[in-house]
Amino acid sequence: MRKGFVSFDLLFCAIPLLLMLSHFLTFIWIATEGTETSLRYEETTGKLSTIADYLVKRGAVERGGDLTSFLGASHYSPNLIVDANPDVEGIRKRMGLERLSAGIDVDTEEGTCVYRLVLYNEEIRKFFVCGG
Amino acid sequence: MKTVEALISCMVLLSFSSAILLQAPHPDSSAVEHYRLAEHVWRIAYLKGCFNQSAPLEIELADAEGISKDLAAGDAGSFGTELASLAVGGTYAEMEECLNAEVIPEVEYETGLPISFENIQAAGEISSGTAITKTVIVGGIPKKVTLRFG
Repeated sequence: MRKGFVSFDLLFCAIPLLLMLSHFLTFIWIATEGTETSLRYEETTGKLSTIADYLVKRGAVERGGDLTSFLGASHYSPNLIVDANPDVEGIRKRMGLERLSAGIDVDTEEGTCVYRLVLYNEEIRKFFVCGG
Repeated sequence: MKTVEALISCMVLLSFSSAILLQAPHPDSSAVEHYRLAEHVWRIAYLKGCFNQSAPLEIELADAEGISKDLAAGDAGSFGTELASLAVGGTYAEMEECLNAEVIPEVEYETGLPISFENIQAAGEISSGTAITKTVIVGGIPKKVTLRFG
């Protein structure tokens, strides 16, 4: 009799606790998924920002000076874009991105995009870097 | 029995703590992006030639002294002051005209965010947002100008 009472007591005590536990485990799983997605987005955004900064400071800007001089030193004009659609395939592989596109006229519908303000043909334009 | 209950209670508590930790707010990265954009607006205004007019400028000594005092005791702004050596020659009127006509409308159109320059008669009046102060030299006289963005 005493053993049976203890078993029922355990049963009625354990069921709500197990339900609570399963609820919280589900909640934690969902929250972890959200955090993982958020971190992946931030990582991608960081990479795209780095690429955008490189392109508007070096990769796609007007370059002056003598390229054959000591160590190929040349003068760059940040934000003064001459290459509206630079080739970014090498950068994409190096940065470990599945897709990457950069330029003035880029389809911004897919993936994450960041932009920088640049001067192109004497007009203020957005230079987009999109990828994921 | 007590061990099982203690175990379950412990797991529930751990679940609570994990859930609370996972809800911790992430740092806002939009502010950093605004600072970057504001820096680029400065750069574009420079590339547009707003700080590089060639007309001579005559400045009275009293004005120059006032500007020097402003610089000595001035507010550094929320992001700090940076000596940019942006301008030579020219007049404030030319600089303001260039900013009003060519930079501010285009930047606002492209970004959808309001911008304004303080300490000069340029368009746009916003009191909050990302602020970057630089020193603009017109006719050899430095003047602090704050760009507010967003």
